[in-house]
Amino acid sequence: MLAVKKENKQGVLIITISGRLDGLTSKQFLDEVESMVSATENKVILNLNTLDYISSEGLRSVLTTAKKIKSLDGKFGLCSPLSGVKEVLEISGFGAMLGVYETEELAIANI
Amino acid sequence: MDEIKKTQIQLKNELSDLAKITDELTFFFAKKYEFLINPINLILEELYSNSINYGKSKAVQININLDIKLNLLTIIYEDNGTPFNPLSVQTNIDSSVSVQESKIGGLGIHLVKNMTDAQHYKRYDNKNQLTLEKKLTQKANNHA
Repeated sequence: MLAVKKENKQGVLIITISGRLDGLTSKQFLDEVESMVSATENKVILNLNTLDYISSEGLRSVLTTAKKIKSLDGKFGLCSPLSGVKEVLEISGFGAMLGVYETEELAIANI
Repeated sequence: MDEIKKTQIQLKNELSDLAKITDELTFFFAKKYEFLINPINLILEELYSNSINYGKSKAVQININLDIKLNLLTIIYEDNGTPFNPLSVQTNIDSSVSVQESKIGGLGIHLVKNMTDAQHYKRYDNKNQLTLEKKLTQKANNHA
């Protein structure tokens, strides 16, 4: 189960995902995010503070999103992962590659 | 007396398999070992994806045994697919490259290796058998 919601803060699109991002939900994630970002909505932060679980399939979908936003000349970052998700981001190297900020405010100020 | 816990999960390449893994682990690890639910779910999802993607068999049968004894979790993961040692997969994880350049290979098995303390593969009886061990230390508790 995955829930995706968006809000705009200081010109940055904050996408908050809740639940599980895995082999069952990664397509839903990509479909929903695809409909949210555009050439004019291309500064995006993925807030992970209610994401309980991510697998490699989920990580791949996050990378696909990051690539899409880069192709729109945008900015992308992650913020506020819980400890389990944070560990997966560290082990996979995705955290270092994509940029993880401790809080949403820090992410908005730095992406 | 040291506590001994065991369970078995069987999967057959059905849409409900991933949800079944989560349900079974939630039940097995309930309360005392709750911190293991997500890490072990991740390991099993990665192995399951490998079995389905590389198995090349229409009737994939997967058998998973979990066993906790003396603060050691042992996972024995078997499938009946074509011979395939997931530990031999070359991992290609390089976070120093830019997002646009990155090509991710072997990510799942990279996670499995890094989240367990020992891994061993053998082919026997027309099955792939992967044995994984994870020490249940205080450090593991922090991984919740």
